[in-house]
Amino acid sequence: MATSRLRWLRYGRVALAALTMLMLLALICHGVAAGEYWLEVQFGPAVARAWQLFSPAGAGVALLVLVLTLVLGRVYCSVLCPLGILQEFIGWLTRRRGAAPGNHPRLRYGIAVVTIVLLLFGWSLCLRLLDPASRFGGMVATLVAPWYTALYNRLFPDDMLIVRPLALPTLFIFGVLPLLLLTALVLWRRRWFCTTLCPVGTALGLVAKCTRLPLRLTDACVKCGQCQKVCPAGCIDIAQGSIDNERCLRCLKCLDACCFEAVAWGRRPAKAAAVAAAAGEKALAAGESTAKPAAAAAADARDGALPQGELTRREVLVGVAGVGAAACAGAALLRPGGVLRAGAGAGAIYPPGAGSAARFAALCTGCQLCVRNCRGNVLRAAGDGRPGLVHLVFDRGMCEFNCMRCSSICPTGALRPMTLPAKQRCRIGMAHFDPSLCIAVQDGVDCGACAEHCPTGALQMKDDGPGRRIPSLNPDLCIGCGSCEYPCPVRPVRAMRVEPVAIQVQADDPGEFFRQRREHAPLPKPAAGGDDGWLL
Amino acid sequence: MDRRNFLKSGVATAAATAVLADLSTIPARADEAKTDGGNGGSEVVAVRNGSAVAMFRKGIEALGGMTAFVKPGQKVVVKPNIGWDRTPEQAANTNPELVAEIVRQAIAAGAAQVQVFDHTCNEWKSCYRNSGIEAAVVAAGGKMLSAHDEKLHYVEKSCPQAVSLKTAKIHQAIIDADVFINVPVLKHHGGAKMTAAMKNFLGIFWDRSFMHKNNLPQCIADCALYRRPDLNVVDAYRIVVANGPRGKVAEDIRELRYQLLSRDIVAIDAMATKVIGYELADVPYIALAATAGLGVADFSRITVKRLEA
Repeated sequence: MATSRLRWLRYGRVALAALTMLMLLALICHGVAAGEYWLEVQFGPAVARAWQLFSPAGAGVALLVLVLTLVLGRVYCSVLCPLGILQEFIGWLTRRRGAAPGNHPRLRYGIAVVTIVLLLFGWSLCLRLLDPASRFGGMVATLVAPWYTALYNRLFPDDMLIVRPLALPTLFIFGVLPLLLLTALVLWRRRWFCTTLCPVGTALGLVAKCTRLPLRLTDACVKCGQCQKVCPAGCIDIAQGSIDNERCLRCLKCLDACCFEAVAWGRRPAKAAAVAAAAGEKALAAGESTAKPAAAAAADARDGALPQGELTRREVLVGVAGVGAAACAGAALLRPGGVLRAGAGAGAIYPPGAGSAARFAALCTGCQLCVRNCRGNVLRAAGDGRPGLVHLVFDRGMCEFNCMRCSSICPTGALRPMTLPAKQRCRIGMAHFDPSLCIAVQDGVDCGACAEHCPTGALQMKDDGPGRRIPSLNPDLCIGCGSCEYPCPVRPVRAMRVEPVAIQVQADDPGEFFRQRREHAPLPKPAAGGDDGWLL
Repeated sequence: MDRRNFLKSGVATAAATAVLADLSTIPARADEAKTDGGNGGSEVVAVRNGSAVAMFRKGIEALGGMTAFVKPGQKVVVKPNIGWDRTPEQAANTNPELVAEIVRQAIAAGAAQVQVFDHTCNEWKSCYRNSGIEAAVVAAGGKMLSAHDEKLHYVEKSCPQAVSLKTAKIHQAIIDADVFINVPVLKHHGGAKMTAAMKNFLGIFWDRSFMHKNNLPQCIADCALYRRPDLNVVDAYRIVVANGPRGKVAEDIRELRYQLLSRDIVAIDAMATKVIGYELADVPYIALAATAGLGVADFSRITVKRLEA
């Protein structure tokens, strides 16, 4: 019988996984700040952030996860990765066991290497498709958050959450399709995604291979196959009596399933194999090439001389060729005027910190964190016909002047974090004024909605004949925040519209501008009049 | 419950039902005498040189104290300007201490509940929080209401005597209130030239876009027809004199340390033009409102009581 001690290990894993799930759901659906810790530790985005921004925090987090993996194995995949947890949940919910996933090192390494190479060249395409955190974010933002918002607003009408528009294509691209695919994979081959497709999993697997505390089968094993039956990663080879720690996801189901306590988690007892392994590692640490046979022997001993986990020369060659081809294809697609940049152009308005349309198009993974956290309700995910995975639309609000939540929460570095003063001068678009549509110009009525909302003073109402005040735009101060477009009352086409800019630059400083202007034309002082200096 | 009370409540319920049934149209000016001060003129109390709280205490005392406005058990709505995600020092919103003092005094006068809201221009939670008004009101015992959901918070009303704003969606709390205290901040305004008591009414309606499109000054004048305020307090402790109503830089702000109080929404705006230094004719909606009979804009018919705090 499984002992309660080992069973509690699995319960602990489930509890930690549930906590991760809860915190990330709270972050995405409700903007709960504590959830950001769980977002921070997501490995794929942390690596992207570390590279794109040379972020020490991102590098630190990535290193921490690697150390954790080196010590305990791929526990990340079972307690920190939301997509891994979701797959466990789907498996548990459907009660159906697909066949165990096979071992496909070529495919696995190929995907990981292509991911890394493209990332080095500044293109997050593979993360966009396969980063578990980003895809989980997309699913929750489109499938869960709208329902949560509706429910919450019904329960708490005095503290309502922002109701965000969701285009049908967005729902399918980010929500329905990925969830259906993932569910199909789980039903077909359990956690095939984690052991084969996921670049994060593969990277961690390479470290987990050298874990100090491996999961292994002891001499008590009677080869009943119970552990192999429950393993969702297909990493137990009962015939060889071995567990492949590179693919083991640390779900700990085998600990629970084994009636003989033959699955152990920890150092192997001092035996010949361990001695050989220790010798091999020592040699590796010394970096001696002559120790190679010993290291190989040690690895063989550790993995039970399992040849299938090792790469043959042919596989290496094929892999290198594949990566080269992918890199060339990527460079061709990404070059200015290439397929992927042609569409990017200045096609839409991107969040502050995006840098340029092209940069943002290459780096955003579409995790939807910025969309869900936008206070102005202007960020939209792809699917409404505009280019870019995320862009701004000013039909429900404006980019709030004092808010920079999108750039501060972006986990991948696609949006550069900024100080508030820098964000308040970051030009994400340029207002375009059409006098032929403006009611103040055409009908001579007082309106001023645009100038009233403009946070920088780029728009002012200027006297234009007796009793007439019309908008006047100073492009040097305009940051394209949409504070003019949103309140403009003209329909169907507004007189104030924000046009995209190809590159984000800093607009002029309004403080300096107004101070200089007033040195020449000071504001009139309120007249001191009446008795005792009363103004009235 | 004895028979008498039963009958009383029955009659009251019937009357209330009748009134409610009639509410979808705003009745003609029933309380005109109240703003006229009895002799065809209006009274404005001006206080200066004190903190916003001290000036209010002085001013309300001159108007007979809060008990002259709030009776025990009444529902009170206080409507400050919370339009912008700006700090109190930036003077784009009403002084939070002033709002809190009004809430405190209304509660002390026996108000059953004091509610505070504004239909903000920036995202409402940021405005409520960063203006300092939410914290001050809650600490004073009032309740902040949200005002940003068309279906949830607004009811459609019509007003036949309005010139431009014939129908409008108005906040439910204003309809339900026994006492309505209007607490704007005085500012320059790019579109309407000046914002004070009347312009503050845009924050009790849903569709500002309609007003901007359909003769803004006339719509501002029409707004007050939907619900006369029982008391107006114009906060001019700090005022935005340029780049209003939001204010862009520190130089846009003057510390004047004034406060105006009046029952007459037109008279108080007329006097406010003097405080900020405009001509009456610069602010067209004041004359329009006077023509509509909402109050007195003629300086010779306005009595000003000047007080030092």
